[in-house]
Amino acid sequence: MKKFTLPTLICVLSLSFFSCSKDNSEIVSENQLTNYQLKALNTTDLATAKQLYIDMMATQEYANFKNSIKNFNDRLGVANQVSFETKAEWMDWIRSNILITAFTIISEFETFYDDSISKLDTMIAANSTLYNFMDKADSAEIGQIITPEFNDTIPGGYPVTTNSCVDGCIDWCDSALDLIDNILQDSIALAETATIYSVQLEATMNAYAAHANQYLSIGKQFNQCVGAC
Amino acid sequence: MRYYLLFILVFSFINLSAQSVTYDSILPPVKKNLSKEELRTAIDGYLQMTKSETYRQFKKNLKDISLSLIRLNENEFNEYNNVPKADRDKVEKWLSKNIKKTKFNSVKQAADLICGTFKLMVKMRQENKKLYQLMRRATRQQIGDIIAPERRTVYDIMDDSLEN
Repeated sequence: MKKFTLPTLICVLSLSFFSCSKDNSEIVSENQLTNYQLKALNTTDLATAKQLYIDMMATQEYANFKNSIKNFNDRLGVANQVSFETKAEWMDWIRSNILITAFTIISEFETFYDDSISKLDTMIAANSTLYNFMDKADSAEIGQIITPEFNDTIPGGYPVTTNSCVDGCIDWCDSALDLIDNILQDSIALAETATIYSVQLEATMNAYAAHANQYLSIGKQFNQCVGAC
Repeated sequence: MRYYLLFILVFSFINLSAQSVTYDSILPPVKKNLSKEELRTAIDGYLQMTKSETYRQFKKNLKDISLSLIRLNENEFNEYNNVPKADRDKVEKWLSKNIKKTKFNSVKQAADLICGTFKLMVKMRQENKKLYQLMRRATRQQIGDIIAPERRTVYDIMDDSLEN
């Protein structure tokens, strides 16, 4: 689960693949709204969708997408449980958080992001029957369809009864809190090496202020993450 | 590591402007390492401090400031952090330029809060002199043990999001 975030978590679990693949998603959102009440597949469709997903996993488009996502998530590092629905939200997030990732500049992030989205588009286009089913499925059914994704990490497959998506957000939140705790410790320790009193005071103040700011930002991202589950 | 480097950058910037602030006494370098008993005293001291009214008010103010600055991007926040909070003129100057990006209603209200929070921190240190003398001599690892009450958990995040 940890290594499988960006569009998969949001786009598969929150059923918004199409808003992920198109920046201008207003029309699609409306469409999703009308679909929402009709969600749920019949047994035959669900069985077909499950098989189509397994078939898809053997394709080159799928491998390309997974590869691209892996590169993206590796660079996100500890922040790899963050999820947003639109590129605008992602860009907004990276502007304040690039330091906690391994990306060096915003444009590098954008290149990797665009690559993942374009690979996702290609994969969806090549598997339109499957994604039409998934668009109509409810979240429990989506869980069943994408079960094979989790076979390598969870013996016996994806447990539909536990909410792994929320667990993922909690894991992310824990590691983000660890990180800012360490930063605070480093910063306070550094402030305590200052040779001028004013420097020590300002540095201590900065350490606490940055921590308060980072904490707030984690709270915001955690809520967005859970909201997308 | 990147944060660490950034902090050093921020830190050296303050160093350059240190002449303009008032608290300019030199701190002699100290050998870092607390004995077991000293560490225990410091750990207890920090925990006690977190229960004090000064500390609570300090942390509450920091949260209010962060909430008001939530729209700043990373660079803008770093710029804010570089402004010496002991220097009200500089704080006001930064605020006048950036007030529209914040949620503060006025430069005066914001400067009162920001500079007041800095003063609370100084007060907190004065109320806990022994603790801060020990922290000055603590190793990086020991600092981690001492400020352990700062650690937040996902439950704090959940509680806070219910509040807001």
